[in-house]
Amino acid sequence: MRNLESILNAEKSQQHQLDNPDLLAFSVLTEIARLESKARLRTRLIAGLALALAASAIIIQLITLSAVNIDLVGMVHGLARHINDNPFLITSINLGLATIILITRKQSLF
Amino acid sequence: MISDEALVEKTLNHGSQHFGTLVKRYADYLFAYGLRLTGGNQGFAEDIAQQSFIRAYKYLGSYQRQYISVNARAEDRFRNWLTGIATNCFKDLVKTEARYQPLDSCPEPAKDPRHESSRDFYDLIKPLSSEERTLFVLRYIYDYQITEIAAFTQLNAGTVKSKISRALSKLRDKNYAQS
Repeated sequence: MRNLESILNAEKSQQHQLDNPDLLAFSVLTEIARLESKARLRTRLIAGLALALAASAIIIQLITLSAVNIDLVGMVHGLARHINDNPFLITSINLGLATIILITRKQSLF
Repeated sequence: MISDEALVEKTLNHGSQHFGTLVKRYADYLFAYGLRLTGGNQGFAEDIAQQSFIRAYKYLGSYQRQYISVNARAEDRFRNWLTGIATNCFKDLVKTEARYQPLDSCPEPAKDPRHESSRDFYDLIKPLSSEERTLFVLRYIYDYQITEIAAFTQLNAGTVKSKISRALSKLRDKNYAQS
């Protein structure tokens, strides 16, 4: 058995080479592209959900406002009156939601 | 030849296509490091190289922010940073993958005739645990300083020193017993 130092010296001078470094580079870049597209999809999904939520909120507000003269029971009537009594509040909420939608479109998130 | 730092900069500013040059430049280095850590197992060594590059790409921003200030020769900075990443990749793979068992408890790793000249070295490190093997390879094959190894392995320098000396005496005992 060779002694420890000579084994270490022999290994130090040893050259280990990959069969095909291009193939490794290709597989690494492909995996990176896959991970990046997965992350992009996730961002788009989250943005899409936020957008759907914002759109639903606007639609619900419109429905509720149109129902203000109808004698609906309980919560719907109360909510409609509350919105009617606070026009500035509802305007600013609408402005916020519209801004979210516009920013989302501008950033091409969805 | 375009420097590592310039390629990192290009990758961060213009996309992953420039990273391919860095991968090709350090592919053999990480593959050899993986072979030495796994005792000559080519498949595992390729996995370590691939995972290390993917992780390096993920944290490339932090290399530019932090590692640029580390007191090392400019041409060694990226290689040292990659070595640290590969060391952690190996540690994580040992933890998560059942196939990365200690060398002495698993059947013979896949042998490749091209790496047979290193067989003595692979036999030598067989009794070492994965952590001891990592420290031993970094110190005695790549000649890294104790402080650098401590940074790669997130251990303190005293612990690194004592673990390396324990590994060395384990190998010397085995070597004397066999000769």
